[in-house]
Amino acid sequence: MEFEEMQKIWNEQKGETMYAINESALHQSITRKKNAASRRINKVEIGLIIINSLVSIILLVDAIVDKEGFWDYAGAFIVMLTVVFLVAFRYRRKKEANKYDRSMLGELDHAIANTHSILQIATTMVYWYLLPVGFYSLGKMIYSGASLERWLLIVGLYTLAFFLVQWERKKMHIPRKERLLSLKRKLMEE
Amino acid sequence: MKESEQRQIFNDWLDGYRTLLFKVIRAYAFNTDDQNDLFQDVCLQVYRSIPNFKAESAVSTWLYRIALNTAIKWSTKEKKHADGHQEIGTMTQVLEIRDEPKDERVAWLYSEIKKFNEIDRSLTLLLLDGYSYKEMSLMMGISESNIGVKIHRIKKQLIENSKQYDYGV
Repeated sequence: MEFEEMQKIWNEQKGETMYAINESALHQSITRKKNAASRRINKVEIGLIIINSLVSIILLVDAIVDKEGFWDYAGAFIVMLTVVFLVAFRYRRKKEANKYDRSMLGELDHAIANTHSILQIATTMVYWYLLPVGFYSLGKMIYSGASLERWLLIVGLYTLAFFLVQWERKKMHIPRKERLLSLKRKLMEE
Repeated sequence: MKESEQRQIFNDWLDGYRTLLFKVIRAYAFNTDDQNDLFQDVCLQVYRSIPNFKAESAVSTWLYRIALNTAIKWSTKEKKHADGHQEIGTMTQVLEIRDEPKDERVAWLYSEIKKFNEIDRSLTLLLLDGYSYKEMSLMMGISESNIGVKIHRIKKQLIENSKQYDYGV
């Protein structure tokens, strides 16, 4: 069969409707998905900014009330640094969102950049949040002579958080980034 | 733009270009649940794109670009229904298969399109719908010469495979 013949066959579809659309269900779905997508984008960043700000304020108040609270000052400072980082990160991500064109390559680059941002947040959570805050908690427990149960609970919770963040990174975000990069390679290769 | 105006344009586009959207859905999603999922994703992106449409390109070109970009990104999703990860019961069914194409050669063409990788599938749809290399280059973001190389390979494969189909008929 010649290619021109295939085009003729293809064009026969013009008058055909392969599917029936349930339009009211479609509109409901669009409204639901639209709201869910906006929530998803902001949830992680805004959630972390609010939680960390509150933790930082609580630690700062503790430090002021408890006159000998060096560890509370140190903790408030560390957590506040993560808030500054998250705000800067969000600002940069939003600023860069408009730089991609609407071609397939532009969309793929944008999707890759978004996945990379999520990976950066996950990495930052481990090395610049969990570890410093973990060391801070351990320091405070040594300083205040915590019980064995408290040691087990705190170390257990930090270990669990560490593995959960790593699991999410490896099972969800890295594979998606690899799939997107593979698509980009397919697009660019001749 | 008012919500009601955006909705009206969306309904008009859906009425006028549904076949175009269906072609993309059928080329990228291979069971009813995936087709429903992808169609809803495509419609959402089309709806969102309406305020950005400046009439610098034809509506069909604009819709093709959005539908293909959405389908490409959808194909990297971890939880497609084909993977069996998502509860099928929770899925909104907005599409119902009504008519299989009257000409079985159309079904053969779709089965051939499915054999290509995700990028070549997009090119094949655009090629069959008569887009020029220049238009394809703008839509895909790659050079016309790269488009030319890919198209040559796609046509060769389609023509080669059609020989087996011709013999089989």
